[in-house]
Amino acid sequence: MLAQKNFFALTRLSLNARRSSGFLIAVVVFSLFFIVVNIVIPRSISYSDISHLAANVGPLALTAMGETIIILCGEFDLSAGPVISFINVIVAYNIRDRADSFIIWLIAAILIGAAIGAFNGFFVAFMRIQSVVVTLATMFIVEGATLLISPNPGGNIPKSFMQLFNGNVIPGVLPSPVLVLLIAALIWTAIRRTRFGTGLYATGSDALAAQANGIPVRRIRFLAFVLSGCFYGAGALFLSAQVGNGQPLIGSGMLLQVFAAVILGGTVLSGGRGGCVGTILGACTILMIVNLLLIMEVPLYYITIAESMVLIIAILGSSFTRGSSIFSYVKFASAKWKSLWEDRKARSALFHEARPRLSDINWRMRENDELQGSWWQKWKTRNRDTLRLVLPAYAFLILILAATYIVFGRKVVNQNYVNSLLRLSVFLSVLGLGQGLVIMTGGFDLSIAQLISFSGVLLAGLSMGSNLSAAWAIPVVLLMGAAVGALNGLGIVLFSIPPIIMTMAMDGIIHGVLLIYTGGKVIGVVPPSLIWFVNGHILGFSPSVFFLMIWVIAGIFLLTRTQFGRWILAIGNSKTVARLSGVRVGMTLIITYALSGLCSALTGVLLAGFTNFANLSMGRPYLLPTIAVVFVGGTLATGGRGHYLGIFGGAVLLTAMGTLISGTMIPIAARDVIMGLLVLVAVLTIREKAIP
Amino acid sequence: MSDPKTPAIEVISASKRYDATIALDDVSMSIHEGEIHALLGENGAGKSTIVKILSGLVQADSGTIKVFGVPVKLSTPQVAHRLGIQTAYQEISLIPDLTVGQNMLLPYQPLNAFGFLSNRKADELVKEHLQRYKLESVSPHTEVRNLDLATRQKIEIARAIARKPRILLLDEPTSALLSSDVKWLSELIARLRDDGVAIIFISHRLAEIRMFCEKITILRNGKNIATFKTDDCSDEEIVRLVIGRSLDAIFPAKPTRPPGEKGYPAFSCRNLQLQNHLNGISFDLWPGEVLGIAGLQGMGQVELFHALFGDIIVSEGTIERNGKKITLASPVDAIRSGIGISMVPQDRKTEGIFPELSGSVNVSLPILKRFSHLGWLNLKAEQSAVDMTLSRLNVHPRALYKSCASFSGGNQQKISIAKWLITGGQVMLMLDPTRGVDVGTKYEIYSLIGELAREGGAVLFYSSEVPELVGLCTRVLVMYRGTIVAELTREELTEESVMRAALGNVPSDAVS
Repeated sequence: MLAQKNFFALTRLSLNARRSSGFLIAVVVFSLFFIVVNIVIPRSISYSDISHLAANVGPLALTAMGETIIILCGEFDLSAGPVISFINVIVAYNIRDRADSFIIWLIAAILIGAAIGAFNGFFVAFMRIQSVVVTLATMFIVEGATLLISPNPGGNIPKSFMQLFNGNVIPGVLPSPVLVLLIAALIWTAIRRTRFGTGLYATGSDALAAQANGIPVRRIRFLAFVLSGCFYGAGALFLSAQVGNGQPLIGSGMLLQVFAAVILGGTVLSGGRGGCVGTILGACTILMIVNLLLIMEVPLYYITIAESMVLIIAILGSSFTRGSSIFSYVKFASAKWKSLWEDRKARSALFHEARPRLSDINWRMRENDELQGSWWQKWKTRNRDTLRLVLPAYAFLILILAATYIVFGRKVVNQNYVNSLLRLSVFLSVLGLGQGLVIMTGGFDLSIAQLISFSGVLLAGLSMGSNLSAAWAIPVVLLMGAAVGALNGLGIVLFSIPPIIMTMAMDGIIHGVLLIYTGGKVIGVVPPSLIWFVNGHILGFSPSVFFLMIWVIAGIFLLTRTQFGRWILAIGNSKTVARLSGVRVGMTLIITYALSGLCSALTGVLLAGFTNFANLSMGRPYLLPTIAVVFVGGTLATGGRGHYLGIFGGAVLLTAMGTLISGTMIPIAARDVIMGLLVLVAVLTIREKAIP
Repeated sequence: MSDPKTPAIEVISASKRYDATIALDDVSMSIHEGEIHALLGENGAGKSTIVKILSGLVQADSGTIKVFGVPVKLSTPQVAHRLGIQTAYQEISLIPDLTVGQNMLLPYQPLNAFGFLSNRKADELVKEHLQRYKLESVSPHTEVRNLDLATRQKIEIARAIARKPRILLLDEPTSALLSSDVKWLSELIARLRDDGVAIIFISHRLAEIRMFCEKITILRNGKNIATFKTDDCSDEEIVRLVIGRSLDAIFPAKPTRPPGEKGYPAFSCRNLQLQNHLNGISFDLWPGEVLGIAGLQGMGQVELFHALFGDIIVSEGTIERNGKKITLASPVDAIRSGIGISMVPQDRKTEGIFPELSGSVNVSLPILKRFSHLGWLNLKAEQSAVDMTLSRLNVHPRALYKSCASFSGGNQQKISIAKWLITGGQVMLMLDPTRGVDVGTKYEIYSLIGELAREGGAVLFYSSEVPELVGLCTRVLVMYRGTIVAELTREELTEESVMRAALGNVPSDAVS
């Protein structure tokens, strides 16, 4: 009897072990680095080391726990970083050195986080917009709001409040940061043992099945965002207690570490598997890796590269355990090789591609009773769907132009205005094509900002102001951009890394490379020919305006008149259908990301010409606008539909809006808020249209 | 207890449409306590829509539903549960990442005094359930993702029953079950009937319906065609009511000439192996032949078709086309004009077409290369070729620019087929091509298959409707657990013989 009972306990244990393999790996990796750190530092690890590690890891761990909850239910949250900064700034400006103020702001911070989470959750759960799009918009709205409150670091966190998180509960036994993390872990364990907790896992694992089971899927998604907001609030408090004041940009770089902590903690990105306790260990592991690098005196510039690599390696590690796509590609390659080698005799006959002889085509088409009236009416009937996507951007553009005319009057709105408007639109138009193609395939490219900066800096560095050198430096920079993009594509295709994660990690890597290349200083000189190309005049217009015209025609041609364009739309609608229709899905995706990289590099080059110099953060303001341009231009957020004419309209629209805002008293930070809201509005309205 | 005259559940003129497709058209039906009522109809006749409406997953556009005489609004599955309606879904609704135990209790797990989940109570309850439904062999702590299809279906059924329904919907509960499991189900159902539960039973297998059900309602094209007592109607009559005409009238004449005397087979495969799915599949497909593949759900048919199309790479085995060995690394290779293999996939919405894109973009996708010169697409040539193909299938020319979503299910399926007609390939693989289309379109698809064969094409045809296989094919191969267990031709080819082989060659009395 007893033996049998023990046996059952054992099988249950082993089954549980298999189920929580992710968590076990997190424990193993953590222990491994713990031992390594122990060996590397000459003395043994002390109480104060533990206290120190817990204090350092606290903000990251709490934030990553919030992100874990969202990933568990099958969504993504890109707004975590800016939300942390926002709460940090608000607390720093308002908290007073009194006990009642402490309590009020402890609660308020968590409530603010919950409120922002509710905002995200509302659009994701009830408006059914992709979480990536919603949280990206929120990210910019919140960041803009933070900068409006406090453009520079300011405010003050009282010393005694800092002690609350960083001191000791029982000196020598229990440091308070450890207690905070323990409480967080306890709260999570309690939540996990509720019906909501099971519902969270069920929703992330298979939302349709969960719904059929009577699980309130929408409510669970909404609550997951609210709950994660609470964790962000706690994370922001912890961070405030460490930095001692309000820093409007402190959270912006956090996202990479957050995702790395989640994945290292054993949570699967597709949802339904994992947990928050593992995330705490994951966060510790990352911090230990960073500390190790610092101990080994690796320059600071390499740290983001290391973090990005950890993120990618962690994903590779977790995806290798199941039937990952790399294996199917290996099989594909060997079969391809076989078909090329062994079937070579049959090839000439079998692989010859027939083309229809023009004489075989029956050019006379059937009468269509639906097409009536003049050619114009027929054309309208045939292109109704496209027109509905493209026209809104132009309608809004006319409104903005009218507003500009009303504000500035005739002395500003003239040919000069048109030239400068188009000249400024070049950047977003170029970026919009790359990002647009990527979004049409159903992905995102978040590596744009750093790639623009790096390209600009690289061009200036390579050419050193010489027109002659520019002749080879520009192609080199463009090739570099395409290669970086292709790397994105390879990671996404071969290892099924989600596009936002892959490109986010790439962003971090490029950032590191950029710092190493420049040593943190502006170097190089922009060649004068490039400056002339963007700012000079031919027949009253800049050369770049003529270039823009050619670019727009080429973009439209690429999407509507080539096999590649059709393939992109097909993949965006459904990778499965596309594959079963003979589309080379992997190849097309890699080329698409390479094109996006090329567009970023080209923008970097043009931007360097525009500003006469290249700086390290010149690409930063362009990430959200590229996505806004694509959505305002009528592209479906889920991919599969879009027209470059609309995207171009969106680019001009946003540029006109930017010009209008910068000419008024509205602060620049408000632009981010407006653009974030614009993305939400655009996606909401297109979503309605997509339903026939 | 309520008045025995009041039906447990009553549907009064319910209608439902999806885009251009009418799924339910003014359907009424009622089921009493302790009654087992069969819902019969072809794929797409509206059975699943009724199940979804009664389960609270979708709402009818119009009509009333009464539960024990009280009009109700089934807005969510939770509401349906509260009214005592439970469903075992055809597309199984278990959560793959949760354990059997967690799935059994979802979403009404027992709580402890503090409002948290109680592991102890849960374990006891699950053990009790598994014992009562004779599923002791299943460990409650296994994750569902690790179970085979038949076990999953049994758990899906057991769970619905464990929630103590007053009205139980079983949507094709036997589609993945083997014959021994069918017996298991019949015992469960008998017990429920004695307890006074009203059961709606959906199945394709007439033998099972005769075994389980007292009454039958037949749906066709979303309409209620007839409701009658099971014993009042012969099998032939039922079949005629289901498909709307007699069997002989609907299928085109089979080719009389026996294939394969001369030359090479159009297509042949030897010893195809794929772990867990295919185990030594070999057969020849001759020009002019319609070769049928039969089998229960999940016996490897789908994998076989995808492997022959290059979508799955087999671990072993060879494929020959016209006597020449070929290796297919991806569908791109299969589509090449020199090879010319086409596949109409099983699930139209997720594999066959892009609903949001226009018909012409859908149709020309596999052969865009033929219309492009130096990267420039000749749109005029493309449109003409697409129009020609669509006219052969009687699809309105507005499909050239209108999105597929605006067409009915039947026309969408025609577009999915047009995509392969346009390639002119000589080998056509068709996975359940009549799934979810109206009777008229079915007939057109049958004629087309006959036409393709007469023109010298070779058709490999899988169908979940056994009468289709018997009516259309010259030869049928029956698959069971990844191998071909029977080849049926001419006189041997009957519905009974196909079903018997599909159930694993059990003695005939277990089927009929």
